[in-house]
Amino acid sequence: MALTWRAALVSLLLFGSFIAVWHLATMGSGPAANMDPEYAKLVGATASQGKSAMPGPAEVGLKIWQHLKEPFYDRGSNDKGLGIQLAYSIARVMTGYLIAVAVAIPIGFLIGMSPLMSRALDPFIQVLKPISPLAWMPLALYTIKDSSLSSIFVIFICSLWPMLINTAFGVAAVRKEWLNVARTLEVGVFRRAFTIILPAAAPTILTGMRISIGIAWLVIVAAEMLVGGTGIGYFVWNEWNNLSITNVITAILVIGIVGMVLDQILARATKLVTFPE
Amino acid sequence: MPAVENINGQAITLAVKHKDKNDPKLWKGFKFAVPFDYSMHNYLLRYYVAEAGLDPDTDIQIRAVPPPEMVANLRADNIDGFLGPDPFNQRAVYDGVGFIHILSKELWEGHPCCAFAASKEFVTTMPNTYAALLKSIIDATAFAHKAENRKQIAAAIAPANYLNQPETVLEQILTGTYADGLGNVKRDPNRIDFDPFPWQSFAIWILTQMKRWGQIKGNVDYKAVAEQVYLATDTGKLMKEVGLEPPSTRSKNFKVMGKEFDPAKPDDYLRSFAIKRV
Repeated sequence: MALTWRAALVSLLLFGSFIAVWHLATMGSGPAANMDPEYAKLVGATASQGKSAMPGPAEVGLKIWQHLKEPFYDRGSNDKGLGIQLAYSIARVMTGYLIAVAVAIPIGFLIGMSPLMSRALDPFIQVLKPISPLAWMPLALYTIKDSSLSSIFVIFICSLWPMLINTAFGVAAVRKEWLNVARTLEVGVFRRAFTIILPAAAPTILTGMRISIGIAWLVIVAAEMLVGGTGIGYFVWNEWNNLSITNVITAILVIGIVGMVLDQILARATKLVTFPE
Repeated sequence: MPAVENINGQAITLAVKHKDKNDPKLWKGFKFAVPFDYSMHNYLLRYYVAEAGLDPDTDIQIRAVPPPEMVANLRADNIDGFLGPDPFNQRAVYDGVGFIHILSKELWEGHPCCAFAASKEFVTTMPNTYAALLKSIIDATAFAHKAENRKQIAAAIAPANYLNQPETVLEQILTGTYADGLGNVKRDPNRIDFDPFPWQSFAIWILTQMKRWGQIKGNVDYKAVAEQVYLATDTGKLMKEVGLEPPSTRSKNFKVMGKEFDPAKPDDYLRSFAIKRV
């Protein structure tokens, strides 16, 4: 059998055994002995029948199906469909991410093309880079005073660094021969940047962008848990507070799938600009 | 603070594994959760364990946990029990995680719990909005006070947009016929009740307890603070408008765990306790 088919088969077998183990682990121990029937009616299935508190795969599957049937309903501020929550999160990520692109790539070019600016900005970048984006959250809330803008700022500050560093690296690593040809032809700075350096550094820049989108999606979930209101992160935390583990698991799966889709979009874009050396 | 929301309606819930330790004297070393260090729950819990002879600062550990996380923390064994608001006590019983040790109404019948508070700025710059809001809250309180409306309220607040709890949990709390976690069905229609009047004696009791545990230090002008914060002027008028009879006095005596509290003698009350920080 071809490798793809064999890999698909192994994947399915792994998935199947995971679901089987999950189902067995959450099946529960059977009815509790000697419970007064009136009492049994007043307590939940866990207390009266020993059913596991963790939902089984059937319950989660049913919940996912319910969410997919009605993704865009809105029954009040605490009860919105999964589609609406995802839309809010994706909108915030895109806004913060695009602002970061607009800032990181020009500055990355500057750092890559000028050894002076590279040395001068280096200490600032090294100190600011390791700061967890969520540590910026209190400062952002205090100064910006708007929770949505604060989360966008946090996305901006976390997506900035991989793109900045990768762009600077890509720009600095352009082959010297091409730059020498440009010097011979007396090409101006901007024309050199757009026609020679940009295409040459594009694969590295896009790799940086791909890393950044992964980080941005990670951070928005955490940021929304803190800030609340709308969004998939808020949905996870709200369902946790409502002790609805089924919804939490559903949300986790959805977060994973959307993250994968965003990553794949940038992977395709990278393939478009890659050139054989 | 012009209106009290519910009175009673809290309970001490312990983890199921402590079924045999149903006596507060056996609680040395336990970890308890309360919603907030300055909430009614903290003062009630401290009063209760102090009456059993335990010092709440050294013999047990009290930590602040948001109420929605209390059941999860109980299940994860992070805490041994909590004194918290409903629906989380009943939810712990429903999930088979805890049992109700004692209802807060058995500590102090008619104690205030949640309250509606407004900033001075709101009251003075938007008086009509404030009055409309206060009237609707008092109207809701009057509606919730009647026993025949309780089942309807449980059905209305159960959906995901509001409390997102199983309807039977809310019904058990509001009607007072509930499972206690130890196999018994108990009937107590006043488990939770609703009475909006902000008695100044409540404020004075809370101040004595704050002083007792060292949260406020120095001399406290109990009456002045109570009069400033617990504003009953609008409340009385609005209570009449919705058909409730407001009381004619601002202060009344009451009993906490069998001991009489006289709001005119707060310092004597404070001095009468064996365990205190002052």
